[in-house]
Amino acid sequence: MININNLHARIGDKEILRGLNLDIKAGEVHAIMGPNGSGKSTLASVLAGREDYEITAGSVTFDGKDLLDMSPEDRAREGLFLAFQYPVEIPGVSNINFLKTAINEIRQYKGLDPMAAKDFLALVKEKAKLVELSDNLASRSVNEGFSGGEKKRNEIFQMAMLDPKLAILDETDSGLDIDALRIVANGVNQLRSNQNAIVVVTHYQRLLDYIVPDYVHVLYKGRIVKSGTKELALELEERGYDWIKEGVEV
Amino acid sequence: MIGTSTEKMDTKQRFLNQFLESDVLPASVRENAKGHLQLLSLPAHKDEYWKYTRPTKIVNSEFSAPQHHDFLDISEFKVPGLDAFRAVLLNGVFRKDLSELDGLPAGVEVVDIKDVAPDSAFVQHLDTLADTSKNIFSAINAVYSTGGIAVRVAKGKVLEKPLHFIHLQTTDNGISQPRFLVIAEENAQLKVIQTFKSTVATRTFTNSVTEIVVQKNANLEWDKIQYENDESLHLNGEFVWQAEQSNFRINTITLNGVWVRNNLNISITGERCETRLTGLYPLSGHQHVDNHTHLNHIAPHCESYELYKGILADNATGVFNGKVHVYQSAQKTNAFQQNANIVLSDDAQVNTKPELEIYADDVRCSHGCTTGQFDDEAIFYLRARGIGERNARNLLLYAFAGEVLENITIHPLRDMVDQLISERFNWEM
Amino acid sequence: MSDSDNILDEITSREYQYGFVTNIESEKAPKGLNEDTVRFISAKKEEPEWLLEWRLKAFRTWKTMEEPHHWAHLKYPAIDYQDHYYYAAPKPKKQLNSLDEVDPELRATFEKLGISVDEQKRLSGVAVDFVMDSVSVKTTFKETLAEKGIIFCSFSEAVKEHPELVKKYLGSVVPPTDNYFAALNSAVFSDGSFCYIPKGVRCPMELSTYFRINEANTGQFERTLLIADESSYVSYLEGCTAPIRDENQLHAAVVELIALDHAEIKYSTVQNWYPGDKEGKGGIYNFVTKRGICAGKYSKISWTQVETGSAITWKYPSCILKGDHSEGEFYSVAVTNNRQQADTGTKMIHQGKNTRSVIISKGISAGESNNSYRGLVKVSKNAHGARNFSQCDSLLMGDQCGAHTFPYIECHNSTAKIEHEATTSKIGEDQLFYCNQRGIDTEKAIGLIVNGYCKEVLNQLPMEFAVEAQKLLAISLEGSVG
Repeated sequence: MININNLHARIGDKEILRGLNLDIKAGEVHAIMGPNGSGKSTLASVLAGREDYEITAGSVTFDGKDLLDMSPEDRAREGLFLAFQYPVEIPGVSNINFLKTAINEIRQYKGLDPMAAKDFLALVKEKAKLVELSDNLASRSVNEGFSGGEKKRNEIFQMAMLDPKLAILDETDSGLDIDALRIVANGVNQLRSNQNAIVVVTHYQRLLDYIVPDYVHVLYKGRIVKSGTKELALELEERGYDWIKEGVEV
Repeated sequence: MIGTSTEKMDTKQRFLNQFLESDVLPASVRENAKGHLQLLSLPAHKDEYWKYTRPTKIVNSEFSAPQHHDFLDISEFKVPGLDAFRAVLLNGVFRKDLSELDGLPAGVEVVDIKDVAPDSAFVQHLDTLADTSKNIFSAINAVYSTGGIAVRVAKGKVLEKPLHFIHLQTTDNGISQPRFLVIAEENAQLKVIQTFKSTVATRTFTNSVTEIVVQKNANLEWDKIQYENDESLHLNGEFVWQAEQSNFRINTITLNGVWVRNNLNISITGERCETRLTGLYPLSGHQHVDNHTHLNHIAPHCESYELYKGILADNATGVFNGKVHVYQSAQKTNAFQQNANIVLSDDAQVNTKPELEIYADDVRCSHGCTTGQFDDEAIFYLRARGIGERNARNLLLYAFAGEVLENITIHPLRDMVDQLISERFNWEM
Repeated sequence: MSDSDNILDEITSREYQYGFVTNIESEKAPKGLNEDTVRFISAKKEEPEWLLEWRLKAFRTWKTMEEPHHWAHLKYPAIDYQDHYYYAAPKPKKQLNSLDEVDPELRATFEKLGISVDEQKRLSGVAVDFVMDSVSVKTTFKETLAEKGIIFCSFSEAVKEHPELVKKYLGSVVPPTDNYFAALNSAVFSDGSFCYIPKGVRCPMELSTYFRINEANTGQFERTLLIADESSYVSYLEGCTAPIRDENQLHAAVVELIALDHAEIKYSTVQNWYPGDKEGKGGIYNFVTKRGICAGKYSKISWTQVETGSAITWKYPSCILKGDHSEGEFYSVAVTNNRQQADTGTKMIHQGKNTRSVIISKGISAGESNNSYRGLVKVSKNAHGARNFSQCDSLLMGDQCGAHTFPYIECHNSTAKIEHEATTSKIGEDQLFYCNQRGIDTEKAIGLIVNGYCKEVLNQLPMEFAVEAQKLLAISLEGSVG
């Protein structure tokens, strides 16, 4: 589904991604782990098209198309979804209005008619249940006055509404208590299918107890230095990252 | 604005005739100002700059020639318990004999403005900030200056003890037109206290102009206390220029005056400066105090904070007109402005005009103002704890004023101000 | 160039969508302004002697007044008042008896504006009083309103049919000598709307007027007088558009509202007069005096405005809160783009006891425009228990524009509580990126965010007007990307 090849990216003078390779197929769940500053969030941002980063080398193909050539909104319309680590507040714009606009823009891109209001509201109701989001949260302004947990649930709710091919969860577990974490993970698991793929970017193994990955990758100094299965995550939890760092330095 | 009607000219001429031409400032400065003064007219009736505080009161008053004293005991005008350098201006004239300036460290000059050498740093800056070409009162001050003080703290020097300017008016209906010039050179640091006091009870007139230069990374803290008398007319123009990374704080406490106008103009011309303007005007009787601040954010990445508070009793009038002007070049400015007032009587009034003028988009600017009375709930709460109503009110008033007073970092001065305010309002401190 | 720069660029290059000229032969007064012009207008309208005298008195005062240049944050060349036509009436082809008889060309004009008369009549039940230049063309629904005793007609008709009401209230809120532009209007006003809601009547529909400046170099000086008698209610909508003209056109209207005991008036305006082109050429000069008096106890006047047009806007819809417990509200969105300049706000004059006022102002500046809020809150000595809350926010789009806030607060009472807050912000890059990531392009994202920012004001508008206002905001700001 997505193929990342020798990706280099920098912000200002600082090179952050230095030759990253990753191949993800439909139906897979990949976890990307790594110590602070290894480039995890950069990878998520670069894939979503944040302009602060400069791509200096490499390529990314998404369903056969050149992802790096697309605007952020076209990437979203092609089915790439980023659950933000820090979802921004947009005062005055209701969640519902926001999502309706997004869905209809994506539909228009695909040559479909706008969704009927009735169907849209039914969809909202259905998907809100998935992450136990109350109706009133849906009518409030986007992320405004939401608690940390509510923001993260709102991200997963939006993911459910937009039904992406590839979802990247950027440290979705940060700042969540165990109950909220369960709700979020539960939502994600229900969205798993053999049609889509999920990338879980995380610092901790805990989230992976709930969203069980097919593959685990360790990102360090802008490259994937080790890959394995979910057992690797457990090992990292136990031993930390030092042994991996040492392996790389040697 | 250029005055055309002869009537206007007559009023202006009548007003100017009360002043004595002086030789205090260098001849070039005076000649220049004289030229401007001919073209400038007194503020017109509808001049927006003078809305709420029309200068008619000063224009129509009559003043007397200054009285001369050979000696005056200044001890009662010092800040009790404060170790400071002191420079005395008596009826607008610098009196070295009454001042206490011995032991100034090397690199710190405090001199009679009359004596500044033509090639000194002083002359380089003198009258460059006071806007003499547009501001008629600055021009008058330049031409008719009664005296003044120039201060320079050289590069990297720190003046440990505060420098106290003691301005005294002892003449009935006297006029004083002092000029102050303070230069804090790169990385220098000093604290200035400026007190205005009158020993007479009649209508005196002060037209003070202060120019302040805060150079790179310099730090200047300024406390101004105005407590002349209930009849005094006081016009104060401060013109401040800040270079990069400099820090300037000014605290304006006005305790009386029948007509007081403080014009504070600050230009922030270098990056990463900090500017803090605070002020308090607890007024009673028929006092009228107007704080007019104009903050020019010209350079990016600077922060300013402004807080003025008024307490208006009896027939007093408080005016606040604060303008924050953010130039297009001043991206990333962070400016905060707040004016709060408590009105204690239906005969008192507050006129406030907090303005934002913004030409840069990536800035954080906010202002707010409130006018109101006591929080009834708070008073009730205090009374329910056994505190009498009068004390409860005083307690809340003092808490209200405290937010400004806490900016006075010189403790003996803070004590003195507390004392003055409590005498005025019978507050329990 | 970043994406948002592109957007801003496109916004700035937009052309005015409503620029077209209706070709109807018109009957004009000779160019220029003197007592004869005033007499001409008055005679044309077959006015009684007292009204002519009233106009002349205003004219004589106007001649002694100075155009107010000293305080507003506006810059424009001097206006040559002798270079304008002060009266233009579309020549009626014949007396109109029904909507179907309205000039087809005129009808087409309204259709282009998106307010087809038939549709209005059939679907929304809105009674519309069109003002084409100066003369009211056709009033609909008059009969329906008449059953309830509501008078809704053109100003000239009111002068003929209800002289006692006109005489009693004309100039009672905005005296002819109030200010320079009000004096000018009082001297040369050509027509406008008149409305009277009798005691205890709740007006069953939204009353609406569309103003349009059509004739080149014609100043429009309409006059609106609206009286809500005791315990009545009315919601009044006013919309304005003007076609493209090169010269600046002068517009100086006066609106007077009177609310008696327990009465409520809601007055909504959507203004999109031609703003001039990208270089600031052309456009309407809009100098308007709008004022309401809450004369009776527990009365309420609420102003809502969405201002997107005009080269110069000088406008301060105000409330005099005279009756005890009366309430005033002002909700405003003002958008300026290109070289537009707006100096707008309100005055809340608290005179009665326990009076309340709310001011919500949202300014949006783009291009090289300047947008100023100017508002006065005055609490008089006897206005015990007065309360005011003001919120004035500014949104900047691009770094060539200016956003300014000039609030005046005058408090003469110890029991009053006045609060004013103001903030300045821009549309954040992170907000735009968040929207992009959800598939919403930058242009649409700006629209979403701007509408969200203005929501408190747009919510005050009647439904169909709110939709139109949102469209207007989009037109004024978004441009056509892609």
